Formats: sequence, C-alpha cells, structure tokens
Amino acid sequence: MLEVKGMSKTYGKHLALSDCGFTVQKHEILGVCGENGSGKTTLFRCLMGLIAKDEGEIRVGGKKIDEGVRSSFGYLPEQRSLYTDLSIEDTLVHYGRLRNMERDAIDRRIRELYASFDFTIALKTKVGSLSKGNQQKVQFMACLIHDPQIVILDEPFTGLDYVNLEKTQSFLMDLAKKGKCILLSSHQYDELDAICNSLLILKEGKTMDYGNLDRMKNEVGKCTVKVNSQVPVLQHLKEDETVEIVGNSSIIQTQTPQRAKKLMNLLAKDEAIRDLAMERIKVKELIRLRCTP
Amino acid sequence: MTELILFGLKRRFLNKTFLISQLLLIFLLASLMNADKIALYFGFTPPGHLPLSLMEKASEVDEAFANAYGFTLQEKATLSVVKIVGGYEVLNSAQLDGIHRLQLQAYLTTLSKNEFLALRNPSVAELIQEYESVEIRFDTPMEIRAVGKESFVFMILTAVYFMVLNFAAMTSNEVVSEKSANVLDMVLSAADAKSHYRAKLFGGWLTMILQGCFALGTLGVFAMLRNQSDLGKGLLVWASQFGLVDREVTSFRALFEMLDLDFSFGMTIALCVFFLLCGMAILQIIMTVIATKLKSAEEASILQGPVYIFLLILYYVALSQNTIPRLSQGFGKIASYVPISSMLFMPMRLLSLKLGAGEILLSGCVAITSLLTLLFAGQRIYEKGLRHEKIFKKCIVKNRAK
Repeated sequence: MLEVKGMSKTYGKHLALSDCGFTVQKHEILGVCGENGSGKTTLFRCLMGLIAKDEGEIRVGGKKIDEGVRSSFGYLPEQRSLYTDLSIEDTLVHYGRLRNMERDAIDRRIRELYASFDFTIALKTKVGSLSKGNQQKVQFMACLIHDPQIVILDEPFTGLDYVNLEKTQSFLMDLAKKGKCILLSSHQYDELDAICNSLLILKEGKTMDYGNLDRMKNEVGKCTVKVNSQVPVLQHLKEDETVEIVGNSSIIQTQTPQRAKKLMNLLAKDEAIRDLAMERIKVKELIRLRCTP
Repeated sequence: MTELILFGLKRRFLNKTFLISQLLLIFLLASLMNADKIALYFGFTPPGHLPLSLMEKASEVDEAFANAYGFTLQEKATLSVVKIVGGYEVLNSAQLDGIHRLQLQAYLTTLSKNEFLALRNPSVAELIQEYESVEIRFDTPMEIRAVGKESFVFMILTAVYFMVLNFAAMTSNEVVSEKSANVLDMVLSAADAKSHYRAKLFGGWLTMILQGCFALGTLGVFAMLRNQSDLGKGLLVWASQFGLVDREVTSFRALFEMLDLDFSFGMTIALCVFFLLCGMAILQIIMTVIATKLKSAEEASILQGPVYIFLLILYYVALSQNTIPRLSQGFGKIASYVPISSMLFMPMRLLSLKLGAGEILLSGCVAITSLLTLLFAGQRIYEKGLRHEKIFKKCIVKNRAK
C-alpha cells in the first residue's frame, strides 16, 4: 500500500503542489487528473524523489521511506527518457542492471514484457529508429523490468494508437489484478473512466476531489440516459432535465441515478424504444464540475 | 539560417551562466593587469630581486648597484656575504642557481672595484697596475644537475596538464547533456543521485587512465617499431633542432640513459603525477557539481572559457616562477601548498629542488584533504542540484490551501 500525506512543493513563488494526500491499495488504479499545470507531474516526481518535496510523508506498507531513490517503484516519465543510440535490448538490460537484476532474470523479464505488450520489433533495433508510440512502449517496459509493486505512470497513453491503447488498458488492469498499486495521470479521460478505481483531481496544485470513483460519481449523481431519437421523450422529462440529439440518439441528463433508473423504467414501457442505456457521469464531466467554481 | 544563428547565440549568451563567467573573466584579467600591485600588497619580493645582506653597511650607490644586478640589500637575509682575506665568501649559497651566482659575482666584483676607487682614488694606470681581482667563494658548490631529464619530464607533465582542460569539462558535459535529453528521469528512478555522482567521477578517472594507458601503449608500439628501424636516431636528431632533447641523444637507448631512471627519480616522477592527478580531480569535481546548475550544453560551453583562461594563466605564472630562488621561497613555495596550483608548482619544485619529506607530506596532505572535502561536499551539492533543491535554505511553503 502506498500512502502519501501532506505533499507540498513550491518553485520559487509558484505553489506547484499543496497538501496533497492519498492512498493506493494493492489491486487499485488511482487516476490523477486535472488541467495543465495542476501539479500531476510534480506530484509524481516528488514521489520518485526526482525533485525535493518541501513537505510531506510517503509510506509504503506502513513504513516511511527515505529520501532518494524509490527503487521498488516503477516510473514512466511523461517525456521520452531513453538513450536513442542504444538498442532496445541494451536499454532494457541497462535499466535491469541498475536495479541489480541478474542477466538471466532480465532476459526472462524481457520475454514476458514482449508478450504482454505484443511487441514484435527485434531487440537489436536502435531506440532512435522507433516510432514515438514504440519508444513509449520500450520506456514502459524499462519501467517494469524489475516487476515493481508500485507503478507510477505519467501520461502512459501518449502516442499510442487505438489498438495499443486498448492493449495498454488491458495490461494495466492485469497488473492491478496481480496486486500492484498503480498511479497514472492522463488527459485521456475515457481511458481513466475505463480502468481507474479511484481518482485524484488537482487544480493549481490543490486537491479538488479524491476518492473512490464510483462514490464520486454517485455523489455527483448526474447520469445520462441514451435512447433512439425517433421516440418522443419530452413528455417524460422534468424541468431540470435536458435532452440533446447526437446522431440517431437522444441523450438525457438527469440529476440523480435514481431518477435515471425511473426514467429508464418509464421509457422501457414504450414499445417503440429499441436502444436504452444508462450511464453515470463521465470523468471528464466530473473534473469539469469539480474544477469549475 | 539567420534565425538558427541568432537562436544559437541567444542560448549561449543570454543566460545567468554567461554573466557569471564574464564576471569571472573580468576578475581574472583585472588581476592579470594589476599583478604587480597584487604581488606588492601581499609582500612578494619583486621578480629577480633576491634578498642579500652585506656584513658592512652598504652605501646608497651600492644599493642601486645591487638592484641592478637583481639583489635587494637587507640587514638580515638568508643569503649573506662576508669579507675574507682577498675577497668575499657567500654564505647559504645553495639557493642560487647558475645565473644568480654569475650576477652575484659581477656585483661583488663591482663592489670591490668601487671600494678600491673610493680608498685610493687612483689614476687609470694605477688602477690597471694595482687593482687585483677579488676571490669570490661560495660555501656550497653549485650542483651540476642533469637538466635534460627534468626538462623532459616537465614537458610530459605540461602535456598532461593541458589534458586537464579537456578532462575537467568531459564529465560536466555528460551531466549537462543527460539533463538536456531528459534521460536523467529514468536513470534517477533506478539509481540514486549519490551513485550517479560517484559513477561520473570514477568513470571519468577510469576513462583518463585508460586513455592514458592506450596512448602510452600505442606510443610504445610505434617507438619499438622506430627503434627497429633506426634506433630512433632520425627522430631524435630532428627533435634536437628544436631544443627538445640534447644533441648527444641520438637513440632511444641514450634517451633512457639520460633520464637515468633510478628509484629516486622514479619516486619524484610518481609524486609529480600524484600532485597533478589531485589537481585534476579537484577541478573535475568542481566542474561536475557546477554542471547540475546548468540548463543547456551552450551554458556549459560558455563556462569553460574562463576556466581555460584561468588554467593558462596559472601555467604561465608557474613558468615565470620556474627558477630555484623563486621556487625556494615566496610565491612559488606558497603556491605549491595551495590546492589546484600545487598540481603545477609542486612538480616544478620536486624536479628543481631537493625537498624535505615534511614539505612534500604537508603539500600532499593539503591536496588530499581538499580533494576528499570537495568529494563529500560536492556530493551533497550534486544531489541537491539534480533534485532542484536549494543548497543552503529550505523552501517555505507559501499560500497553503485554506
């Protein structure tokens, strides 16, 4: 379990992070999100000891950890941080050896990661000749080479195509199932919605909301009901409910999940209605709500 | 293309590092232009004027003559002259090299003539007939040193010294380029800054040693091949035209014999290399630690200019002090105890003088202590520099969340 309390960081007069705290359990994926400049990367770099935090405490398994390297963590930086003149194999071996792994273990781990990422590019290929997405994958593998318990990923979905996006999502969920604690930040909110168990929303360094994602969505209460647009629905709606036509569907916004269920039951009685689905508020909408005064 | 040039110039000159390096340069050049005043302020003897005491009171004229011959008269000085029957004896003359002995002889001869003239007021004929040249005796005979081998070794040390200029910058450039390429994020997530620092320094030293060994090995191979060809005669005869070796040395074997590599000389060379390496290591640590504060390769290159100029000034100052009297006392002696300058001055003193074990030990201890202090203090500054942490004060969190 990773526990963070009171994390703060100031760059000169600029408050980058203020009194940030959270807990990440095993099997949990915590999504860290917010506007640009909200302090996500600063938080991760403080956690990794890459920058010195001004205040705060970090505990792993109940034990306070020292300043410096969190060698049991796996960290994927936001930017590419690879030696472009090295081959994929040399890169992964280098980072494995930095973590005192034996060559056999590194080779075994490379095979596992290649299979997990469905990576087929030859090991001798120079990193500099890879596409942005493939470099991201190599960097991802380098971050996981030592099979860390705590994985910190800063914008892991950047540069990935749709297919690899899904594969990465699935990979992260598998990692969580294996008992890892995963922190990740992203501006791709659909991905956060799909895989995160909990969410930390930052704005200008301050925590706007934090907690279990389901609870946060339930607290907000807003839901959408989607129905095929040929069917008239206005007579079923209350004054504070809105409907929006998107393609062949009508999207109805309700204020509570209970109201959404009631509306669905009403609409289900209409034999003309074919498609009916209820969705809770999305992460994107949640962030907008929390960050807008 | 204009934009590229302007962009490059902006990155090189519009930064804090350039400002600091220019201030450093201004300070160095101002010191150079006022070196005489600085020397006077610190009480260093004017160049060439050795303190000399005469057993009898000297007249003003004699004082003026003394200055002209490169001596300054003092009541009490280590180097002293006493009158003996038929001439003078110079006491504590071990510190004098050949040139100063000749100058002293000329001065004392002039002194004697002036006395004769003052006492007798002779005519020219009487002067020629009656004046007898004086005997000038030195209590310590001048040691005929095989100057050749010391010069040869000093030539090699000079070459190694100028390698320092490159070596000092090498590690700092590596750190700056890793920072610029964002590689440090991944590296420091796996290894701590302390290990990174030590790896950079030790890696740098190993690189230097390996490069040196490779260079020496390659030189040795080509020397052997040349020896097989003509025993090195053609090369050495050609080199003697430029005064690099004596004319008598016409083979590699003769060159080795000239070096006369006995245990004592071997120890001298080993000590010279030790002091040179200490100085190099100190410079390397300083440059590496400064690199953590630099933001780009352009800033790093701007900083190297003043450092090179400083090292060159040090070298030329060392050359100017390369005489036995100046190395025995005054600036040359003091500089051989100061870290960084000792990497030149101590080898010069070791090659020119017979130093006591105490002096060598003291200078060595100062060098090692400085190196170790910088090594550990530098580690803390390096760690804080890589983590963007202030060195001396802790940040205070302002505007905490309400």
